[in-house]
Amino acid sequence: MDKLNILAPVRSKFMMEEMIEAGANEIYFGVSNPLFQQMSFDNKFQTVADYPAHFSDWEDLDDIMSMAKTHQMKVIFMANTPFIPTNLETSFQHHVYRALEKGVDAITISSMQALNLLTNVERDTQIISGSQLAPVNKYGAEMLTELGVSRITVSQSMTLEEIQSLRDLDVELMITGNFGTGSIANCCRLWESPNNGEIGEGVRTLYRILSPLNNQLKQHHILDSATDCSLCNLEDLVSAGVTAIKFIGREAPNPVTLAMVVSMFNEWKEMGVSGFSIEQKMKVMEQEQLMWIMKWVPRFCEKCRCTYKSTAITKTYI
Amino acid sequence: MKTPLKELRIHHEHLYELTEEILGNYQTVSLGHSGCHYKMNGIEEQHIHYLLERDKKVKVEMPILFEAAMNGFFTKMQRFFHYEINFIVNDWGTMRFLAQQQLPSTVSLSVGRQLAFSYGNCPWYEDILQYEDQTIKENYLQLNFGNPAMIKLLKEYGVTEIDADIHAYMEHSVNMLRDEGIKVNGFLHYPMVSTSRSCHTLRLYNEPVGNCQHLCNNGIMIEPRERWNRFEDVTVKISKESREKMGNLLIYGNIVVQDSNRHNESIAFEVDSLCDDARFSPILLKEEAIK
Repeated sequence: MDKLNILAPVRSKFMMEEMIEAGANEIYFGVSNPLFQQMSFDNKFQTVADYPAHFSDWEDLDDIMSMAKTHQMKVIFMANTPFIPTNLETSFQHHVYRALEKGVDAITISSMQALNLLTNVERDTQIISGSQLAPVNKYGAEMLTELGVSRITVSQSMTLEEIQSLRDLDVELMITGNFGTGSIANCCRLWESPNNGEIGEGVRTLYRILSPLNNQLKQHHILDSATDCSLCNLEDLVSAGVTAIKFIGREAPNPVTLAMVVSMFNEWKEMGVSGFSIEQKMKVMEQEQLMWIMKWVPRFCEKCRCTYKSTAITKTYI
Repeated sequence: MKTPLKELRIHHEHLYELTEEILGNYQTVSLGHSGCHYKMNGIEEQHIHYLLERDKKVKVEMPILFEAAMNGFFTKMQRFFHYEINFIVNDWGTMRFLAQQQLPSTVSLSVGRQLAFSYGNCPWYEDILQYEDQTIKENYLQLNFGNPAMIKLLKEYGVTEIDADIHAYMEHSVNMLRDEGIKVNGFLHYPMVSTSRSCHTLRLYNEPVGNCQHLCNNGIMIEPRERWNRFEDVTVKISKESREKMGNLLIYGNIVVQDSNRHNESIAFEVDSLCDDARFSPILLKEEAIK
């Protein structure tokens, strides 16, 4: 359990300070590219709901790298765009090489194309496959490891037993700790628009049902099969071979709130190391964390947003 | 769209209901499902024989296969491996598994629409790309397989065909694939926009998994109404203008498609076959095609 790495997003020096304080031992970030207005060479538009998701100045990374070194944190650069247009392949490579010059420890990619384009990257740089390339079975994971990936982000829709089946592969396994989309990796084209505050993630939108149904439903989050929390299964995940948890939220409106989430997971992890039961952990949370009572429980526990427990969502897995 | 051939994708339980006249319009018929192995229960060798007897090229689409389903699925599928057949594959792991099987030369492979995509497959791509330079915009509207690295990978795995929801702007990547000997099967209508492991229809009806195949024969049409905010967990009403931009969607089990019909003439370039998908669209399903 104490080997579980906590990977937090960073988009500014302030956010970096918050994540260090929260107990993250790995960080990740992306850098915007002047070629684009909203597109990027990673899997985030440059703004999400008007909040930036990237560093825009490479020079700002010097401070971040220095802080990471001081705190012995691993630094991961996001180059996880699911597709690189042919005309931009060279620009993509230069973008990644620039990050390597800054001294990042690992690169996250999310396409077979990117893996191919980065075959010349030095061997001491770890290659991580991102959530958009998440394998859904053992053969997919084997394929990635053969191509040089040494850490895999597993599909959020994989069960604990399925994750366990990857355990014998010579590869680190990572999960996403907070928020999911419910869609299978790379199968969702209903992206949140960076240019229109009314067009959010299509899979979590509230829809009016126009077809006649046998029930009285008129409006429903009918595409929402997202699972958002894995807290109660941290020990099971470690037993299944998971060695890292990634938190999403580079675009978080309030980095302090996101740091509280990271801190909560960290505290939960520490209590696990000390042998606390789930009930004991919850009791501590109730006593110490206002966020737990005010936000976490009503939003995730009461709505059964558990990624690895039997819920209405996981019971209908195909 | 110029194309010499037509292909029909249909659920096997509707195959025998097709009139000979309708079937006569297609040179290729594909069975199977890109998202659900349960929906393929009941595909038998007699379905393949039925099509081969009518001189149809036969394809079977394989769904995205999570680890728990793989062994059982391939135990059933192996009986089809000796036919002259094309398997459409929708996840990289399945592709690798098949590549390890030393399949006979009569078996060929296609990449399905779960793996092949373009940013243009997002219903509101114009909104997303509106401020990008024209060249950048055009670049991002190409197919993700239309580049040397992905073509090389396709060839390594013996893939001969690729499925794609076609748009007018994809000409460059489609031509690149075809020039490299990869056939492109184009879908004009009802492009795929989302697939999840948890079945939307099952959740809606609260039915158990496995005996549910009847629930997703007809689509459920939905219209966007309120946007969800991840960090605040609140919803905000979507204006009529944005709703129109987003358009309606159709749900078929765990598959979601855009409610969109394009005119054949809107595509100026050639593909190798034009596909009508009766599984994930209202096309052909009812009175038009089935007796």
